[in-house]
Amino acid sequence: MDRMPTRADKPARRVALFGVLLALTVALAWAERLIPMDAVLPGAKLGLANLVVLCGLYLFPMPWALALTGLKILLTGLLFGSYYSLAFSAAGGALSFLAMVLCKRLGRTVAFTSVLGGVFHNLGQLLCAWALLGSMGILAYFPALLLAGMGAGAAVGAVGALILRRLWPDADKTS
Amino acid sequence: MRNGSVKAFALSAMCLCLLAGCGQEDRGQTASIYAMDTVMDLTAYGEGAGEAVDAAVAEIDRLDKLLSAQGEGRDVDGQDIRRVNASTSATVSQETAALLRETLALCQETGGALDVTIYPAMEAWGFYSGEYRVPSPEELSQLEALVNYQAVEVADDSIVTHGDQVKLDLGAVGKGYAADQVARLWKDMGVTSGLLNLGGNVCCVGPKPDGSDWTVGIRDPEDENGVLCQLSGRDMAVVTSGAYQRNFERDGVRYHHILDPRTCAPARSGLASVTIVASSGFLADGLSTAVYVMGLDSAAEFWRQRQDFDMILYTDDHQLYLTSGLAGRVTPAEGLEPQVLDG
Amino acid sequence: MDRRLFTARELLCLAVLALVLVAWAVWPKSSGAAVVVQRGGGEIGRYPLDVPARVEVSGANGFSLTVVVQDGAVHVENSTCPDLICQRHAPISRSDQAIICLPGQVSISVEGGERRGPDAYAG
Repeated sequence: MDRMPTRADKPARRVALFGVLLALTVALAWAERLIPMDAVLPGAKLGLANLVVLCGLYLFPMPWALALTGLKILLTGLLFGSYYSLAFSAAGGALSFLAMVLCKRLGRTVAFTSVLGGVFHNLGQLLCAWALLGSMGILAYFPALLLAGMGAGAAVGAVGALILRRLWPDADKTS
Repeated sequence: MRNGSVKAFALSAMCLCLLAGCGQEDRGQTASIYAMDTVMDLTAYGEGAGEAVDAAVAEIDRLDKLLSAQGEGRDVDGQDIRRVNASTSATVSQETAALLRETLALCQETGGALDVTIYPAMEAWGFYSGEYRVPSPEELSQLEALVNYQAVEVADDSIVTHGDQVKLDLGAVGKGYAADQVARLWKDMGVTSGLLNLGGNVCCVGPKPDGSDWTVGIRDPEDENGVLCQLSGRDMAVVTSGAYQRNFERDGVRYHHILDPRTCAPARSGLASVTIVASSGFLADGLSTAVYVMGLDSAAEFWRQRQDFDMILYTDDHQLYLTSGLAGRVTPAEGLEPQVLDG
Repeated sequence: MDRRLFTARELLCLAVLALVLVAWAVWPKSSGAAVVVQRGGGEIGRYPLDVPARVEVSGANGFSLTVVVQDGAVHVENSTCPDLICQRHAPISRSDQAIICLPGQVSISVEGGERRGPDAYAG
């Protein structure tokens, strides 16, 4: 049996993989709305769709990974959210992506990268909400949401690490 | 993967979840509804609080229909009291029959200070329609003849009979009974902590979620924002009655909604506010009306004979009285020195 | 292929972070005495927590909320915003709690005080 191509190096393969992953991330974003975490804690999410972003970071060159993330935010925001959620998604997604890129560059493990991604995603959303409201009330949500981000990030990270290890064993996970 | 780190990670994740769950217990589930002519807040804590609150709302709606003397429409199905009032003989549910028997017994024990047949008098004063008026002395004597709880009989087969033109109003015990039903329902559902406020009728189910006693403030009749005192306790019903709750003015005289069944006019007993603390909401509710009508001395005597409840009395001349069972549980407001009634 | 999910150093770092967050979350706060309502960062109302009140708050973008202070706690009884997260929120009474309506840019929080009001008022 053919081994899965690593790093999607050939352009055609890369484009195909990109398309598949983009579709997958939108599907996951839809699926995770079936489990409304934000009745328990406003702003909390399972973060299933971030699994794809995480993998994309290790499978594609930086510009493509960035494009995948950006398109994910745009598509899910337009399809499933409102203007507000798009703004928060963008803020969270941007900070999260930056944090994950840094972790990857510093050679951290996949799971760790994902945890920090989760934390910074929620941090981005909180800061965005704070900027919009400007009141101290937002402070009340910080610890709980950041913890939730850690949890979701860890879960997604574990799954992501497993997937990458099994399907793309030669993918370079340390740079 | 035989990574020890996975186990460590899983363990810490579980611990985090547990810890995160700790903070959640404080927030109960609350429903605010309008029923029995007033605003009600029902709060349950702990697991299953949401279902408990939903069940409580359904139960109160059911009781509202069952016991209400007022209503619109000709269909009186499920509205036992309206049916009783519509004719001299009517069959009611076993529940209503039992409640009526207990209420009539309470009327007797209070020597008629509480009287369920007060409806015609309340109607005459305009407390139902909102079109307040002062009945003439002749009208009042006619009403006195009609207001007589002894004219009501509840047979074993749940048939209620009463004199012609006699009408019942369970408003004096309805909310208390509803509170008891909800408390019982919640206990059956495993709720160990809850708070009911049925239009000022407070019922504490169990202790607070953290195990401490609830604190209930008793409103000051002359200050909307102030309290006479704070009462602490658990598993208790606290009901306060006072002229200040509902009244109107005519020619410089204030007339209020707690009518003395013997005169069919607002009770002038010297009491501004009566609070009854009991384990039964029904008792607390019924007695809060009866004691208000009785006045300080009769009420003290009445209490000494039973002592199955406690009370906080506030007179028109600003004296606060507590029964001995409450000493140590009541924190009076600044400047108020309560006098303790001994059994 | 014996690579660990997290390195020991990473686990330590995450554990510390989690501990800090948990400590922040459960640190005892003083109970509240004033309800502070803000819109877009500016204070538009301040009410004592122990005084029953019902306030109509006009939020941004035309959304309005009915804020109810009752029995020592405050909650949003009704809101015309699309999310209704604010409306679903349980009543708050402590200084570390807040009810936020993002579409309306309204924040309802409690500022600390000394004495706690009673859990309920009879009468």
